Amino acid sequence: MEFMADFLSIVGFVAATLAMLGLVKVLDKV
Amino acid sequence: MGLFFTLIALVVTLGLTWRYLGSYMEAVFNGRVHWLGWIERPIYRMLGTSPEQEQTWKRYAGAMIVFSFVSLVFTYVILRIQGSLPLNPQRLPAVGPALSFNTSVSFLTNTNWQNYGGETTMSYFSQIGALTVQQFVSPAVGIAVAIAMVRGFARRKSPTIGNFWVDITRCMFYILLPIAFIFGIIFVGEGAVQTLSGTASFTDVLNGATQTLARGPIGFMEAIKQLGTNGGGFLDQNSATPFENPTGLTNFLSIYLLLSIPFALTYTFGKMVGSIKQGAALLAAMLLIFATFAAFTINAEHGQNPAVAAAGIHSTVGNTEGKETRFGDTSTALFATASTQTSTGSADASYDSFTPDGGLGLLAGMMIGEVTPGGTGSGLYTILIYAIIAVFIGGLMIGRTPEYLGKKIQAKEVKLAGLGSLVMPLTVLIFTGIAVSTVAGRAGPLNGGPHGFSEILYAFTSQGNNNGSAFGGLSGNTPFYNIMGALAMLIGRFGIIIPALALGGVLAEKDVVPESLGTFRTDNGMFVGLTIGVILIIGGLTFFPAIALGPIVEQLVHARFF
Repeated sequence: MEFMADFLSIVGFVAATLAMLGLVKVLDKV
Repeated sequence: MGLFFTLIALVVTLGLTWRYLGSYMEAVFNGRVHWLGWIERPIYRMLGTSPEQEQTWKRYAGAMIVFSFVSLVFTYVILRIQGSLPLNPQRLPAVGPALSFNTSVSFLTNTNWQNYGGETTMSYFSQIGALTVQQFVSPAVGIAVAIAMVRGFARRKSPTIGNFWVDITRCMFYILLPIAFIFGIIFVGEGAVQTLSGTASFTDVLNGATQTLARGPIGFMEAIKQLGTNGGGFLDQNSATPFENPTGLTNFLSIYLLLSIPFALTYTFGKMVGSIKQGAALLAAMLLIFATFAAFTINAEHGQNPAVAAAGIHSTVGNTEGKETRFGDTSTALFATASTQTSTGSADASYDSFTPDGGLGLLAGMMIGEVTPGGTGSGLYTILIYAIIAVFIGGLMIGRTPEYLGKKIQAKEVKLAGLGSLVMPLTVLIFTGIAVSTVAGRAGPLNGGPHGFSEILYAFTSQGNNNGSAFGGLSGNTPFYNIMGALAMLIGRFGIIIPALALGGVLAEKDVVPESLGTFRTDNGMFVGLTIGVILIIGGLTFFPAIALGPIVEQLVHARFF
């Protein structure tokens, strides 16, 4: 259970990072 | 009288700080300060960079994002394995996954929202190695972003806006660490606790009860907590405890530290763009709003709490419930205003016990975007976004292409500024709406009715603005609030930082338009008024309905608006 929560947390961090990098790309094209 | 002398002392000390710290920071970021070069150079070698290797705004943002990801994972892992790490005399177990997630994001984003009691949750290793490290790193990132954006105004036809690694290294070693060290010594000298010896137990000889007092490396953490507009205290009761904030002097210094860098950065801005008057105009806008909100909140707290008055108790010393008698009603209200308007969130009282009007003053200070003066760096880059909107509106009024500091403000800049100014209110309102519409969200507040709504609204306003202060009446350590809060903090931080860097990059590439008779001046009272108007109108239009459902209804329920 705790392992799954840790895994989801790291996935959340990766997703947030990718979203930020995506925002950089989008704003570059605005 | 105490408040009068406090204000005089603040004006004098902050005035000197504005001039000299502002000038020093400009020299640091323009590479004219080298007394710690022996520390700087090895760091650059290790990172494979140098001050000469400048970055475009995309590379600058990319470096900042990668650095943030590493910081997140670093903090999360320490919290999750603290039970196996040293410096844990209380043998505290690992912090739970959801709380670790929320806390990692909270300290990364300079929010320092705490869904935990520090002394019962965090080991010394976690407090020092994870949380205090982030208390240095997160303001350094904020200041670096602000400086990079300012370079966009200061440079002509430049593809680059600086080097992220160089900026945060210089910020840490030349600004944050030396100042925090000096003030850490003062805090410890005044009596703030600084030890690694674990808790202390005392037996009360009158009734035989044994008390356990939490202690730790508090004094030095306290200095960067305030200087970096962080706010996350070692102890649950934050600056209300004598162990963190022992005397009237430390209370004054806390207020001073909160305001020092955010105000001084306007001087840095003026010096970098070649006109101190430009920085003074932003300072004037910040000061006028700050002074108004401080007066409103101080007046509210110096009066009676309507709920207490309705119970037939008539106090003649202000609304003292939930406040330290050491600091009194007016100094506490000034501290609270400084804390909420600087993205700090530290507290020397219970904000839940403020009068509805006083609570409204704190809430509204955050709702206008925390630009008066705002957090370390975040205050400057956010008010510059508002300034761009102000010159755009000014340009529309006089029928000219708007310019700011000689840079033409065109469609792209206005789109980026619009995004940067609307991200926070959208985040706060949508997340508050979700919370009041779900069972998990409604389970959080400890009160019903308008005060309960205010508690939810305050929580998301605080997190969406990376403030971190809490009303105190919300059970936040639940999966719902841990995850939703973390999302609000991430969006509230990076949803503004990235457009701010993009603005810096776009503006840096532009040439300067020569000033003419028709140029809209941005260093006079007209511009200050327009900027204040933009800040208040955006904040008012977006948040008034929500405020009306919370603190305004609550005050009206007690049938006494002022």
